[in-house]
Amino acid sequence: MDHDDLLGAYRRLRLLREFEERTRVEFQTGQIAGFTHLYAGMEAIAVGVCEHLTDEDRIISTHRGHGHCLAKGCDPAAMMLELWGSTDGLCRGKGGTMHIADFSRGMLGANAVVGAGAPIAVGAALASAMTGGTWVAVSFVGDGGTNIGSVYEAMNLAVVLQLPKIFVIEDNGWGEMTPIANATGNRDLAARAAAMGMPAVAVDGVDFFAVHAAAGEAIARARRGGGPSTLVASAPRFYGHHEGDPQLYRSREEIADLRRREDCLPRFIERVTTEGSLTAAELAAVDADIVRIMDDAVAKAKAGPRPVPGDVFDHVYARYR
Amino acid sequence: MTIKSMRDALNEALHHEFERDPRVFLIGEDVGGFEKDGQPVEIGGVFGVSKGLYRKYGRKRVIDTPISEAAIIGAASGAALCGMRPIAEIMFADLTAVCFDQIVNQIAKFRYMFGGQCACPVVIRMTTGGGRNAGAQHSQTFYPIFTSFPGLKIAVPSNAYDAKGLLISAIRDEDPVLFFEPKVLYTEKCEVPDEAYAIPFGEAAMPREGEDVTLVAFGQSVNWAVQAADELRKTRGIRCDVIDPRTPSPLDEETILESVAATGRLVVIDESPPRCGLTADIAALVADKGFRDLKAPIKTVTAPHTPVPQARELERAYLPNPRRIIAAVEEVLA
Amino acid sequence: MSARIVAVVVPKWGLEMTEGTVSSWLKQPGDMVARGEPLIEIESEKIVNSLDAPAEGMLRRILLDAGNIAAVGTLIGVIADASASEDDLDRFIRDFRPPDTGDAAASAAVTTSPTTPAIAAPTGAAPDAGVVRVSPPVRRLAESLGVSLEGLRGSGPNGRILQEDVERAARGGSQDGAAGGSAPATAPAAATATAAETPRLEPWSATRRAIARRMQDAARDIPHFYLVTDVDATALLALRERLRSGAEPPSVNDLIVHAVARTLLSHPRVNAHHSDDGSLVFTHAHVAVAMATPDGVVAPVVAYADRLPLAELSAALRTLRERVAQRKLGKGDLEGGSFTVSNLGMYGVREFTSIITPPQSASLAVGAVRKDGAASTLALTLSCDHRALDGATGAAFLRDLKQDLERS
Repeated sequence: MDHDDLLGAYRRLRLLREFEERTRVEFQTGQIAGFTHLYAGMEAIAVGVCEHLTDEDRIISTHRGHGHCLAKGCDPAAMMLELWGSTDGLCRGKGGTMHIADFSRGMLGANAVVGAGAPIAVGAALASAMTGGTWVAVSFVGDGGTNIGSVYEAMNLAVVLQLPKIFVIEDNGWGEMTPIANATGNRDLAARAAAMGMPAVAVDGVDFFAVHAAAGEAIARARRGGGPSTLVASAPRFYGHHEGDPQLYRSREEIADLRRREDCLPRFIERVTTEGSLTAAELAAVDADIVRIMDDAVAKAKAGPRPVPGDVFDHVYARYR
Repeated sequence: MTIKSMRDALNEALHHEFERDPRVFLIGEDVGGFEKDGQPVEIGGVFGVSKGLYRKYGRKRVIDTPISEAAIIGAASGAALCGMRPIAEIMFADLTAVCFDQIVNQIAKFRYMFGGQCACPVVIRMTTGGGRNAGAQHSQTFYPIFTSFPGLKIAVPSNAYDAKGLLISAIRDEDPVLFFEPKVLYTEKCEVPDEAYAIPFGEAAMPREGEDVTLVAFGQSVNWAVQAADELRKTRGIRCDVIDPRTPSPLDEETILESVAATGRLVVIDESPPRCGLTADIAALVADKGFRDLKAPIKTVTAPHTPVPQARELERAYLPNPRRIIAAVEEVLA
Repeated sequence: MSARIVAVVVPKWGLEMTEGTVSSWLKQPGDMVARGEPLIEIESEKIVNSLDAPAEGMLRRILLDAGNIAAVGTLIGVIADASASEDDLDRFIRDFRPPDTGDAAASAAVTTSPTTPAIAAPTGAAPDAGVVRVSPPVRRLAESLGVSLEGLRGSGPNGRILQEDVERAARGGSQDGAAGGSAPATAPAAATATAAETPRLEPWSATRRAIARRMQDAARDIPHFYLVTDVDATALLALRERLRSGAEPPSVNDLIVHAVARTLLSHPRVNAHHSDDGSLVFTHAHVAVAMATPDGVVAPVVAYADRLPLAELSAALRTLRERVAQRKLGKGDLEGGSFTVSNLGMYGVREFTSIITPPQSASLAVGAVRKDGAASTLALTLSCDHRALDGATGAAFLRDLKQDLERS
């Protein structure tokens, strides 16, 4: 990665983190309706994968989807407007936190049903193969999602049809509030995917460079017509399952310890500054810029136009005859 | 114009649309074929509806899949989100239960929850209904359940002519369509033009007209209703409007209400069980919007609230028939 | 920038929480707090949990003491840095409005909307006196057979027009015996509709879609105006003849692009991108040249075209044309153009107008060389974005370009 690539990657890592920190603060004020799931701690996975993708490549995300949206290029202000339910939001306020999509960016939607995105992304990969495209489709699924049957249906079909499809499994060790040990018989998630008949590797999802390298290999293979792959990346979830989850199942010390030892941002910063590829001043300038971007996003969201009751009938069908 | 079976009419519709639109493809279990010793071996669908497509278009557009209903529907919908025009085949409507999430939480919602950014023009074809002694898990209708979901369109043809025109409309539609093919009717024949033609959704057909009673029926029940109407006219001089909505969603409410306004009497017929079904739905529609036109209470003719039985005697007792419809008509005229 | 003041409010933890009790403050007014540091213990119906500080700064005010209950969203404290005055804080507290978390008003309003919208077309179908009584399927049949329902006497109850009435009228009207109503009764109507040929669909390519979106936006958003001038092409053609002996002689279009690049340098407003805040002016000319492909037109860019001698510019354009033909253009080849030139002269088009490629401010359309006796002429049409350019600005560029070409 050259200097500009590294700075760009840092910019997105920081944007993902700051977006979630701000969402958390704003959510707690009660201004954002519903409930939300924060991606903080797992940023290196989304960014490490999506740095390889263009707008033509398609991804499908999870209920914990803000990070994937931002990594794929969705506008933070338009996302924040969507969280607020404004008609200027990416989905005109119809989707909210768990259904953010931006088709112009190849972001085919966050999905609130665990595991459901995997078969749909297989369809996107099928469209690429059928039209002779070189684009790929990526689905993100959590470790909890690896116990959903349709994920394996999707993996098998992608292998049978040799589609340009990447299954990214984000292992944060928790399926909602249940630890993985109580939910998953075979802890070796890569082996479970490999058993379906495709290359599968496990990497440290806190290490941006490890994710980036492994994702690059899998995506290049898919673009060449080499079929699907699975990438398992483990990284901590800094907040609860959803915002407001009191996390009575783990101590504050445990979380503080994770933040100390397993945070992808300091890990990234240490490497690039030690290598001398980015300077502290450059990083500080990015940080300041991201704060400004998020201030702007929140201000826009608060002032965004609101839907009117009649809007409920729009977009049910192409024409509601 | 020649006499064709519903199977052949549907097959023609698929051939027309494959020819017309290169984005159209078929995906499902046993829909295509495979190569053996360099020679194509065609399956063409368990009911033969897709015959000839694999030979003509190959595996690229006629895609056999594993027995994985959620993956079939997911693959179809994902491709549709990327501009393709998939037709997914689920062998029996009963098996949509295996991929219910993909249909009702995903396909039905994409346009809406993404704020109109996308279309998901998928057609899901499946066989429906009883009459073949296929038992409790291969004989259900399921179209009433799906009719309750906004975002989906539902078509249930009752004859070969409608089957062809409705399937062509379904494939060209911008919205997801669930297309139910009554398996008993695959061999039933009528005149079907050779060319392609589209029957608009939301427009009921009225195979019989009469001023005494309105009969509304769906799928294969339409044929029983027509038989009952012909019998009543011949033996008793009673004339019935027989209305086949053809698409339960969108529903042609106007035709039903206009007819009831003329006759004042309504019998609704469907082979599904009685609760939360289309018969209850149509009865509620007329009670809500046409009550003052009614001269008698509404009657429904349905299957009982039981699973579909397998034995010939039991299934015969389970399904509606012209005799039960005639009895219901006599009741509303009494 | 004014001092940053941040509200501390009763948080919403989960879907059901509507109010919270302050159990205890973990910080006192005057304490510095870090973002994410536990600030206050709050008790909801389900749990006691600590609320983290939403921002870094000094806890300046506590507005709700321990033991008190308040609704979600209520302001209970204020964090600010030292630069905020007490007056600033008072104003902030006075102006603070808790968010509208209740949906009562909205849900009340939505229930007044129809449950089955447009689908339930005018269903007040109960026919009034004087209204034609006919079922929708029979009305559709009449339409397809060209039978007017006005004045048609229906043989059904209360004069309801039946299918056989329509068919009788169709036979009577045209005497050619329209299709009879054999089962299924719908066949005649749709059969009529099949006579027309069904066209084959050629789906839009991704390139075509992108062009469509960009052009539609440009045509809608940019107030175009057009300036046309004739150029005496004698000198231009003579120059091309002189260079013809070279290994790879430049085309007329290469010469025009070369002149455009030179001329743009002294017309910065023409060589600029449009933005809401102002004109983004380039110091060098990055000329996009439109080229046709089977998928649609593309306009690869010769960056710093003004720096290239004619031979190099000509070679650069040749390379781009080859890349286009082999469909090997990279994303970089298409980005960064400051001005676009399109030429349809090879098709004999006399002159034409082009749509500006946003965010550029202008584009040039080049027509065919016309010979009239000894004289050779070609027409140049400049499309200008009137938000950025006025007539005189565009005209000055066109005049200089014309002079340059006539001097060649």
